[in-house]
Amino acid sequence: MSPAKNKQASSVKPKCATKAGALRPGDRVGIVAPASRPEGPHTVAAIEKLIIGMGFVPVFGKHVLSIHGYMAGKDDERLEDLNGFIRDKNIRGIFCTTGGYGSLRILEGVDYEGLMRDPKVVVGSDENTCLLLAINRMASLPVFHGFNLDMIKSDRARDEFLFAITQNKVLPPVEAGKSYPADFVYSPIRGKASGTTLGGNLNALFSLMGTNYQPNFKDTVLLIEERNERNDIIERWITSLFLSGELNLVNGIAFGSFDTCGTRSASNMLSIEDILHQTLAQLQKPACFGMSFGQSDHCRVTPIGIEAEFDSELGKLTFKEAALL
Amino acid sequence: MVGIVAPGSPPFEEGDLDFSFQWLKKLGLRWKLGKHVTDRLGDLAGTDEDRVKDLHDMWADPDISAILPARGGNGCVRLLDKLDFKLIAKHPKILIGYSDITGLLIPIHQETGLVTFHGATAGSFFESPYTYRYFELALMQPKPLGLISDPTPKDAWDPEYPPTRMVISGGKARGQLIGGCLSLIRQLMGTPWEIDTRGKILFFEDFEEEPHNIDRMITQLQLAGKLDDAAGIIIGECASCRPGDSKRNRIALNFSVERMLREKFADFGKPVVYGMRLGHSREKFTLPLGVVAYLRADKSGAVTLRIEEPATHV
Repeated sequence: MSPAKNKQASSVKPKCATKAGALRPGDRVGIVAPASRPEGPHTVAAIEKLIIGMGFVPVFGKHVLSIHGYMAGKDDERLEDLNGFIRDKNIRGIFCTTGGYGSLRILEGVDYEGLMRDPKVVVGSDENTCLLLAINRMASLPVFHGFNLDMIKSDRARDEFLFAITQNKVLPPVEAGKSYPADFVYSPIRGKASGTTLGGNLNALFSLMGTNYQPNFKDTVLLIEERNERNDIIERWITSLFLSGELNLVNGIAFGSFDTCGTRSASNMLSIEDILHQTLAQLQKPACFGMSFGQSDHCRVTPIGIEAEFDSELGKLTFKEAALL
Repeated sequence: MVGIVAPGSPPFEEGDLDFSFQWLKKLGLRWKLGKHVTDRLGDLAGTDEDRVKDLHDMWADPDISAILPARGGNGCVRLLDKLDFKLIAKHPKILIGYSDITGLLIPIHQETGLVTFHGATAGSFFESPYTYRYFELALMQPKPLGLISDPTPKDAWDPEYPPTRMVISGGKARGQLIGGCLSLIRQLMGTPWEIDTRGKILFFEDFEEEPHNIDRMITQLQLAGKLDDAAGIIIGECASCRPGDSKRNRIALNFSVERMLREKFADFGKPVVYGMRLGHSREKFTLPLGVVAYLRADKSGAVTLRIEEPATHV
């Protein structure tokens, strides 16, 4: 086991010590690209229009369109943008433009204490799950697994995003969605569980295993989504989480959208539901597939780090508290 | 006698095993085939229970002195919580393989202290004279492997030919070898079999991964302290890891693996070399896990890798 693991854990306050305030019209929000660069200036222009349309004042990080290989600028440049917004009292929310890769590289430089002192609404998806989970753990702040701004392509997604970040009331339940026919949920292990919501993109979450930013799995409802990945790779990561013993600590597992996943280039593969069946049967924790959570357009913007009840038979995740003040 | 098993995926074609038999004959070896080597369950060679039973049977068999997986693929890590490490410790024998087999090599070495071998599988040891020579040298004579040399360059240029060995960071290191396929090293993170690199020379390689994905895996090891713990690092050639090579997860504006490594290890202060012939292409040498090696990387570009200890005994 890594001797470095958990060395910072003692400085972390209990879960949900802090919450950010719900955003109001006219609030200034910081737009960052902590991972890869948005496709181009047209993407940034569209994002500006989107945010203004929501009633907020967008403030773009200096390096959103910088290029450093597969990242939007060097690590210290992306950190400068992010920490600049964290430390700016007039910025009330921080949204990510793009996923890809690179959030993992900057985790050691994020000003988590700054976010504890001045909690803000933080939203991201895909690779930025790394950042969300690190913030949730290190700053005890609920965060939103939702859309990166360049993923918002429909009015529905826009309305969902705006709704989630402006409510100081309990959000409506996340339910089984459109991955399957309507009113159907595939639940290999039926049951009810309550716990703190945890999770997001599986690859990003798995990237934290063994590090100081490894999430605390105890008494959580684990939400797992992935995009554009092969079934056998997804199975590898779930198997590892299982062998780590961490899945024994969770109270339930909700699998969300697996958009464009599948057998891909390999043709001798079982479905995700088949591949994970044995592990889920061994775990005997309430579990279901097809929740409206993840990177597809129909997905919900989901708070991570708040109390919820999960019914795997109904495919329903009911929140017990508001994510924002 | 050697035992042929499939702890992960089965051979691509059942008939491929005939090549292995012919070449084992050439080495003067006899073989025994596991019952489930050609079973198929998705991409796995049968159920976890059947694959682990084959492995245990071979390990308990007093006639078997080495276990040769037919192939890697996927599925070795799934066996770890069912694996009888006590049985393995009681009957020390050779286990050799690469890729998914890393999922057995590291845990078995760390749990039992047994030297395991990162090298060709039963289905690939004959693929090039270079691979064949190191397979034979490592497994069939009790002397240290000594200096590792590169294969003789081919006459004809081959577009698939990997970059030559190069120095990413200069320095000297001496330590036990530990490592394997990077995806598998990553997969063991957070489990009881997480890699221990303290004072060791860490080696890794990967196949069909985009440079940013290799960056992700290295960064995870870095955040877990695994790179700082290591005395030195040997990176294999990473076959089909050029930007756009993979069949999944392509990304815009990708760096090359070399560019990414040069940046990542710019201030590392310990030897890091890249492009050694360990990995997924036909030419690969054999590296024993747990055996002391010496690594020297000169700023001039010269790389010395010497295996100083015997990996087997008479």
